Amino acid sequence: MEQKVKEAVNAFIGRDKLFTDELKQRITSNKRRLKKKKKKFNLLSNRYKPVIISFFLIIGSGSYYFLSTLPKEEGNTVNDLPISNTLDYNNDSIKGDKTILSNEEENEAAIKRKLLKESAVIFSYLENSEFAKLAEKIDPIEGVTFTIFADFVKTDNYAGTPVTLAKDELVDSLDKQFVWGQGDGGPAIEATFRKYVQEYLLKRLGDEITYETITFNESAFVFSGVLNTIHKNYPNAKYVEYYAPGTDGNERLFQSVRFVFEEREDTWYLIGIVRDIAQY
Amino acid sequence: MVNNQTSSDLLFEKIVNQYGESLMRLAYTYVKNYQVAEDIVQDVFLKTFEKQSDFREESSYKTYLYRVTINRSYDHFRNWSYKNLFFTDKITKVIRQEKSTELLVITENENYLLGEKILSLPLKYREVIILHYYNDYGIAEIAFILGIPPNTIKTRLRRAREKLKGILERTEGEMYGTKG
Repeated sequence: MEQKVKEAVNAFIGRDKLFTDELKQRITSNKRRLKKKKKKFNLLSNRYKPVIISFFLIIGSGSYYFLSTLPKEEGNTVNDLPISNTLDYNNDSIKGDKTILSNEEENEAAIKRKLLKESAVIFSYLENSEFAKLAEKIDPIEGVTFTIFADFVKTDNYAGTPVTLAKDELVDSLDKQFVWGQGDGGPAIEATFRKYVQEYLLKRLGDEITYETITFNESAFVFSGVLNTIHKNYPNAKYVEYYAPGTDGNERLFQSVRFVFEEREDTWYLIGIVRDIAQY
Repeated sequence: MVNNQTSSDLLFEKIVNQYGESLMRLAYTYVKNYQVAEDIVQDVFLKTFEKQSDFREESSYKTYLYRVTINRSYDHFRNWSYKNLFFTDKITKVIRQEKSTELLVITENENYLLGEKILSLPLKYREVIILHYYNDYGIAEIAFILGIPPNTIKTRLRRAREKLKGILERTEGEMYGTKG
């Protein structure tokens, strides 16, 4: 059958070369043109680089001189600034950088424990379709953003414009149809919120998967291509990742879901649910 | 710097020479229009070479190019203007047929009829047939290229085979006047 298909398709498409020399020439000359354009742009920005650097140096040194001439206000030194309530800085512990670092580590460990637990609860809400409870976990101002690839940003990202649902619209959106995003030339994901959760977050494109590994603030499996941009775009955010390895011995068939949190007034709220699958 | 540019140009040329023909054929099986296929292939080469950082080294460069070409072909289907291209395609085909006497002979050929029917299959069956039988890809690779689970590919391939079998029988019937 293989040979028959090959012969038939070649007979229909034509046995002559489709990739003509003319097309090849067109592609290479267009590439050269693109490269020239890029080079021109680089030259232009290089030419203005010293001017920009000098400008900032002058402004910087001027501001420093101006601030140093101002009289110092009494009683408003760094030591008098309010201390963050998330770190336990008692008198005995402020003995040096080492102690502060250990407190930071302790604090980080506490956040990790809290968010791992929060994520387990959120995951169970998704599994049991308890969306009213899920809404309670969402950031009251930012809402929750869903991205279909690792690139996490509330505005336009790798897959187009992501869906962001406010806390109070989550439950009402269950059966509303959304375009969740689009791969590189692949078909757009169009589904209701309920279906997106069931088919794209709890399953991989409709196939059963098991999230075997849970990690905090790092990925269990990095598949180059669409980059994980959580920390780049939200430096204060923390995330918990649920990772399901590929099936049939194909690691490309992995899927990860990341629950992204940000702290607001001492409470960590869910700001995003990121799905990561192989794009290429 | 000059050396780098030269080696980059040489690499680009090598890639274009190596994969140009197969990508053209692949794109054609999707869009069935030579001009559109040329545009797609040109776009694929320029974009992928520009954004080489997007290439995941887990796959071969050829597989990566295939995937991008297929995605670009899908882009074409989504484009509202593609419907207007059927007319252009017919003209292009007539011109090509006039140019090649060999093709005129093939028009009468069983293979030509069969090829036409294969490329008339619904896209989801056509693409698995083309990738499996025409491009020699296995289930896992097709799943990766199309971003679809292997089980779905298996199901589609099975149904596509059934359809193909029917087509083969019918084509033979048409050629030799028997009913299949």
